[in-house]
Amino acid sequence: MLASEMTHASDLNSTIQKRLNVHSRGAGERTMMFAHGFGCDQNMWRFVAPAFEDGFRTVLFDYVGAGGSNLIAYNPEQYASIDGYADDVIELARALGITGGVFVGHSVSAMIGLVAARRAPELFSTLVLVGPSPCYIDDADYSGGFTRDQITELLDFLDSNHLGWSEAMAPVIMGNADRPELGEELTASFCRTDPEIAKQFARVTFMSDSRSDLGPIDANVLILQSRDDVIAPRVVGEYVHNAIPGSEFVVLDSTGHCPNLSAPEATIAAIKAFV
Amino acid sequence: MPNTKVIRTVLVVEDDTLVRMYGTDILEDAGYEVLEATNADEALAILSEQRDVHVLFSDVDMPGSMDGLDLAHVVHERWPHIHLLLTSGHHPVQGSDLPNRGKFVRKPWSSEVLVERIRGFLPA
Amino acid sequence: MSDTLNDTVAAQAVVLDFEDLFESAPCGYVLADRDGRIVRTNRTLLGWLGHAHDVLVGKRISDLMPIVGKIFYETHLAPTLHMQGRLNEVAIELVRQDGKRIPMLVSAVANDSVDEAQPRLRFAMFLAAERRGYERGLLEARNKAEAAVATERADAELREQFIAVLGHDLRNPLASISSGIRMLDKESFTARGKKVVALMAGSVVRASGLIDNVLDFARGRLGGGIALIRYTDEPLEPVLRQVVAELRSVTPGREITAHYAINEPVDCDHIRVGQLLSNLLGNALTHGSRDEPVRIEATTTDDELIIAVSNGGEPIPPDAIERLFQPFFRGHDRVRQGLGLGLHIASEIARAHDGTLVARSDTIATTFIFTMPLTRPTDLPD
Repeated sequence: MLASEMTHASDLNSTIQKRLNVHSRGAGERTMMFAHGFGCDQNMWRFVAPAFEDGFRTVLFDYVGAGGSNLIAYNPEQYASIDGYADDVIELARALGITGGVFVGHSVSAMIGLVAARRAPELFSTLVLVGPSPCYIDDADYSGGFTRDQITELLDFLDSNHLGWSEAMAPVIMGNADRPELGEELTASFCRTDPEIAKQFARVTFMSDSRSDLGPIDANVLILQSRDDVIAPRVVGEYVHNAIPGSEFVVLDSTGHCPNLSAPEATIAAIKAFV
Repeated sequence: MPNTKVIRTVLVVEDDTLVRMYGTDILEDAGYEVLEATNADEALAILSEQRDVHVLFSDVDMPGSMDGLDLAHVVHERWPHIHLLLTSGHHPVQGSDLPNRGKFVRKPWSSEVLVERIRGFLPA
Repeated sequence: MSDTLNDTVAAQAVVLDFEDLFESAPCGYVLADRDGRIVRTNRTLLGWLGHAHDVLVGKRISDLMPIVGKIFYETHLAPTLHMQGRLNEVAIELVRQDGKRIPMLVSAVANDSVDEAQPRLRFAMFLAAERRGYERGLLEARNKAEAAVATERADAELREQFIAVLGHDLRNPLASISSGIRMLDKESFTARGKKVVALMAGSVVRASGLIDNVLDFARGRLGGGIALIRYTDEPLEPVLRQVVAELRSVTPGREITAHYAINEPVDCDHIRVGQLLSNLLGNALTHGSRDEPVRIEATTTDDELIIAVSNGGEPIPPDAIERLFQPFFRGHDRVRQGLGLGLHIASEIARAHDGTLVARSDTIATTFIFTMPLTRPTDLPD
């Protein structure tokens, strides 16, 4: 098996691949699909995904509304819940002919992946959950890390602070998946997203309660917990670990919510040890 | 069996009194015998008495259990030989909506147009 | 002498007190390690936040922010710095020692210089309260304006729907009165009584025309346009004759001559074409000279239907000719009856039939000509 960088031509032709700005590299019997979390796009895997290209076919994509996805494809009805996003993951996996693959999901994508794997167990036999949280809002006997008021304030912030938003990202573009001039090289345009869509995605992410999607599952599950994570604190990672029998729980020596960016080597090592 | 009788009797169904009187006047002046009803139920009652009616001339919008279009269908089911002419100021009815090659005349109709329509139902 | 001065100035320019420049900069500085832990801040920032220096060192930079800011930092800003190496013009808030939030504008770079001892992340922060207030004001004004427009639109639509319903409902009593008048016409009256009945008939005709025009207009405004119901197996001439007869009966003393040469079947909406003729005729009778006849010609030639209505009297001024077919156009000279919709509706009917309506006016006559193709441009079924 050649460790060549191949973008599979057939992958680019159909609609879901275009819609989700899919990039596929590497070669291998199994496929490893990387799913970004809230606030970013597939570029967040830039330090991690390449390490797997000589053993796997790697697949990266942007959810509709993020990155280079086709913004016109966004409709609020479908993407009003984790299930709607899981629909896309399932459709994409099927379009690519993935069976028994590896799904690596960051943040809210961890839950999206869990839901997808439950609905279509043949797609993924291994799930890597990076900084997962099934519920961000505190409950009587559950500590998600935030109060409902704080989450509401976040949504208001996103609502009324578009200027802050677009200042943080490059200016909003009306999604165009065909950007041949960019090639495969990353440019100064990471994590672009339409503010309206971002607000909806934020709502889905931070106000969903997916605790009922935890539980026994056939796939092998690895949970990667950043040592010092405000968004998905350790107590939440352990909650997820305890709720999925047979899951493995690894604490990475990293700070912040994105160990795949702040501690890529440790992340790669942890995943390699598992798959 | 084709209808070989000469058109003689028209049943006028219209809830507005003045409009109904006027239609009746026009048809009587043209030599027809005219029966009157103010709504679909009355019309069906008259027809059930087995009076010999040749043409149903009905408004579409009427109060009561059904409107003129429904009435036309019911009449056609029970008395298929009766010719159907509907009229309305609001809802033009396509010929294809009516059974038995029924016709439609828009309100406000003039005496000439109305009589011409009825005469158009002469046996083939 | 000047050389020495230049030398002195040049010499002085070299020695900058960077420590002081850093500490008392017009912006706040925060230096942090690659994990985002604060290594040093400057005096300016400490002054804004009301903190003592030792309190801040070792904290995460996101600790300076309210919860919302922390989430924003972790989900967007930190990843962007990792991937892109810089941030520009980010609007955030910092929390002062007394708990008050201070709006800031932040730019940052991640410096991957060789010397690992140097702090990797460098943040420059500017006070942004006024700018934020200005931006918020703009946003609010825009939202208000959008809301106002939406309300206006909703109101306008309601009004137009009301007009449509009203016009619709008025037809029934009018039909009733009309029938009654026609029946009265056959009764025997004194001469005066006959005159009264004739005048009533005229009023009903005018009222019907008004309602038709108002309804069409309202429907058009609601985006409906003039919908046509074509009956191809209907002769057009009787409908036109009927219109002329109606108007003749209510304008005694006016001469109306009509000539028909319609030799082919006409695929059109007969009621609408009748309405067009009625509007043109009514217009001619209202504005034309009472001493001259109003002439109507309806002919089919060469794959066209042509209906022309002319009257005598003063010509229409050229600037009015251009605006004749606009809604609500009533001309300037005299007080006219009507809403100014008749010609507009007529031109819309012409358009719906893929035809044209033009006006010509000089001292001899004013003529309106409706032209319509007999074969439809695309012969598709309705």
